[in-house]
Amino acid sequence: MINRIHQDVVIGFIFILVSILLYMKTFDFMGEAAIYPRALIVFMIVFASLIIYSGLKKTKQLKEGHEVKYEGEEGPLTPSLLKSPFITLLIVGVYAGLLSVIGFFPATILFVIAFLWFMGVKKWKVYVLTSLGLNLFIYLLFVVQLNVHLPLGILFE
Amino acid sequence: MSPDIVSQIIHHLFSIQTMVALVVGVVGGILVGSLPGLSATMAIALLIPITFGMDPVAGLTMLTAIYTAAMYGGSISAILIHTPGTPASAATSLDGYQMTLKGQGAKAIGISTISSMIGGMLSALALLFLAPPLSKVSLMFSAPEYFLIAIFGLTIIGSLASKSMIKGLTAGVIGLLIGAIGVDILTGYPRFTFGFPALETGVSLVPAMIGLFSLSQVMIQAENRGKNQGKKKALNIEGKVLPTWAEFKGIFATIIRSSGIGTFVGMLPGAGADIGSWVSYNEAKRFSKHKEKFGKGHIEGVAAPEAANNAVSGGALIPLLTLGIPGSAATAVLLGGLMIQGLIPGRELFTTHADITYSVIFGFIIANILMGIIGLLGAKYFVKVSVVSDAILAPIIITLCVVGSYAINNNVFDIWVMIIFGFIGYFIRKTGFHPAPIILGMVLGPIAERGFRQSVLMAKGDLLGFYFSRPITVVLMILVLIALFSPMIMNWWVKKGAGNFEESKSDGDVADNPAK
Amino acid sequence: MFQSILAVLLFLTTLVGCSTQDTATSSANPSEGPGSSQKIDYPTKPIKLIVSYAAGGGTDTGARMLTSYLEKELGVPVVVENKPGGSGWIGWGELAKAKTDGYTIGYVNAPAIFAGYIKPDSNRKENLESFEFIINHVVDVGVIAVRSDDNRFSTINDLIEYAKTNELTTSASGVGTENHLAALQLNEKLGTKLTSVQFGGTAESLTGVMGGHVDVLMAKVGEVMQAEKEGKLKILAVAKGERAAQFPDVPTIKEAVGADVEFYSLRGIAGPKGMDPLIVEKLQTAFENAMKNPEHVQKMSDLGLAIDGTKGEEYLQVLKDEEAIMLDFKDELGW
Repeated sequence: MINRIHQDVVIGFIFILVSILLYMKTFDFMGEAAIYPRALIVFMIVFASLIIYSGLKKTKQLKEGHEVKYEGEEGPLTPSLLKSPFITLLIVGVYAGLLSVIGFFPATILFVIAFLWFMGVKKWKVYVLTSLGLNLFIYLLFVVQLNVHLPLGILFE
Repeated sequence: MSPDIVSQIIHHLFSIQTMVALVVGVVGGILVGSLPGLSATMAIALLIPITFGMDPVAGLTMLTAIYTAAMYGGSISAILIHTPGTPASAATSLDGYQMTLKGQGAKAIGISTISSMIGGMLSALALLFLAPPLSKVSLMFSAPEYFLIAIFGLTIIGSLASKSMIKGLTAGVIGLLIGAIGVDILTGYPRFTFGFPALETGVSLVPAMIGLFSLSQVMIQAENRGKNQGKKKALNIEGKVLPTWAEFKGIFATIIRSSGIGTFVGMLPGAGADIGSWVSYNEAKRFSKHKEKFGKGHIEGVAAPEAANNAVSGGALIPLLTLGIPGSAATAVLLGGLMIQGLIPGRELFTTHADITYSVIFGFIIANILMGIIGLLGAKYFVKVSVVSDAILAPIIITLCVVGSYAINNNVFDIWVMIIFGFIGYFIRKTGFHPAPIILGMVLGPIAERGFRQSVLMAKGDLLGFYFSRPITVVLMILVLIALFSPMIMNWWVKKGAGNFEESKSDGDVADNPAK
Repeated sequence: MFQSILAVLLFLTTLVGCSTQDTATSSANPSEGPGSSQKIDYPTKPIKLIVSYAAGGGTDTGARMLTSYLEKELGVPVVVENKPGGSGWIGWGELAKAKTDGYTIGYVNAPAIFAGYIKPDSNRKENLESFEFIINHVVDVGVIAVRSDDNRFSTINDLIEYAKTNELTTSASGVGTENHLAALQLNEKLGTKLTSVQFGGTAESLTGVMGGHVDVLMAKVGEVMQAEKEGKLKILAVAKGERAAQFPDVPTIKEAVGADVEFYSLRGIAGPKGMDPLIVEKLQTAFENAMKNPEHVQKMSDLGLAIDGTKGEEYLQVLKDEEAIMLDFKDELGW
């Protein structure tokens, strides 16, 4: 990838695009309610443009063969890097969807088992202890002690 | 206080029921606080029915103990697993988690415990001795002051936990925009709700924060799935809990300042512990001689927000008990608890019901001490959380995030909010932004906007005259100007006259000046 | 002079009118209560009571104070479930869609509930027709107050006269809330220049007025009782048909200035439309008995709340009248 563009450029454009969409949304707002969000969106577009500008400078450095340093948590987003975080998000999404259907506790047991397997845990003891212990803890604290009504799921309601 | 009352207080406090209530309140509060999503407000609300049948002193002491202990408990998970247990400990996670990564988790907990204890104690003493005069202060603050306090808090946004100033500012504006979601209180118009009724009251702060900090953290850790399992945990976690004397001396001023800020912010009905902790963090950084160390695991960065959020709890009780005006969300709920016990806040609490009121205040002081003891003794064990392998910790954290997001409003919608913010959090963290300015923007934005527009109405047409006729407003405006321009002036100062001073000394002097 | 005599006469007639009405309803109730001869097997399991506001708020506190007595009447647990958000409509929406088996009921707060479907952009299908109104629990009566050291006004008439030529700010707790509507009504009927400053909650409104940042407080009896007792606030008028028991010397708006402006909020019990009339009747009786419990009455009156007890059709009619007021002000609200 010699012609790659620094990700700051892409991020900046995403921000500008979202800003424009939000700005269009403010046209429906009633009078005074629109002023503050519009002002914020203008700031947003200015900042995003500056991010694109600095991204373009970094892109130029990349093209000239220099390394662009990433600090701390920042890192180039590559498909191979994104795979695991995205599967994580997907599993959590399925979990959230499932718990309103089959109820909180069954969904949690399924989720914990699925996630442990995804993380590569092999010992069956870990599966049993984690899923049972966690559910018991949540049941005792939230349901018994704090009277929180966790979703039962549409199947059981 | 007459000797008669003193003996009554002792009688009330040292009953078995009160003692049990204290321990249950402190331990329960720490637990509740450390779990993401379970805030002090919620714990108090959910436990109020239980206090119906209790003796008023025992019941109210338990509730106040939960309040202060939950403020502290939030820091434990913020420090160890980058998962602020309550919005008030979001600021703590900045430096606290960095300390854990450096193997100083135990010390971070120790500092948080000591700061929380001192913050809570100082605010309790303010409550005990200064409640009536201080309650007048809460009445002096209204819309224009809130607007300026919010602006003051926002002045640090560019340099908060971000390497690039522009990215910090952008993250701040994102937060402010998210804060604009919901029904605009002055026109009743729903902004950016996209037809979801749950968004009418705005994006709930707790699920958003859990998503930005915790879920994104799990996603980042998932990048290393299958690699170096268990290896990263070779870190030295056996470090000391207590800071050295020199370290303590170094943070002492920060703790005292933050306790003052916390108590003060706590007294304001429009601002709570989340704001108190951010403002203290900002001020600690502004006053520090080691600004560059903030965000990289600096002990001042842990001490400041923790002293402040516990000080908020005592501060918020001041207007509640004297005026019946709750100083924070948690104390608004506590008001219900008082009423149910037949205690109507006001002067009568300090006359007719003085024995109960003073017993509860003393109980609150004891709760803070107990919290400190339990925290220091427990720190070694809390830290063990960070040796649990990511593979096991990750599903536990996610489950707690999910149940916490749900429980805050009993609404599945908030779980989706949490997931969406997790997604956003992951992307912005990978592209060099930080979630902290977003949270700060979400917290302060609505206060700034509403405060400004309310003050326009209050001014009845003469906005400038209105602002300049209010002494506190003028002082705040000067503070905001100093905050905005002091970095520039300081740069100029250092460049021009650095030769005359040692560099570190001039830094400290200039930074100290604004307060004088 | 003539005016004051007229006011007294008016006051007397309203008093008499009300008291006869009271005896009429109270004498009618007992004959209706035990009159249900048909038996139904209800309730047999816990009843869910939805509160559309957060735990610890006014509605929640009132609900929790009632449930223990209600449980004794019904013989099953009554579980309060808080569903805050969406200006109350998260909970109300759920209530409207709930099963009609009588195991899900909830608190409905008026006039807060109207705004959710009168606002043009709300796109909400539910309205008053979506609910079965069981019984009203409390009436939270509104008052108009000023800071006690505000020398400009010692009576409500002073305030109204002053406000006709000068702009005054009043506290409100949201667009279309009862105190906001009351200010609009006063402006319309008396030509006053009241500007409502919208606050996030009572705490902010109280500091706003007590701290001298806003001129006029529009709040509820319970919220101002203590501050009045300690001499921090002057209550100028009560915003309901009759005087409040807590402030016997304070005139109503109507008797003082002649304008028929009332503001108060109602917190009552409703279920989804289509409940079995027998279940509704059973619930009405149980709630009525629980609400009459002297302990409960005392606790509520300490909080400045008046127990109501208007039931069924009559309750619906009260709500419809309130709804009409809000519809009248649609334009002023910008809806």
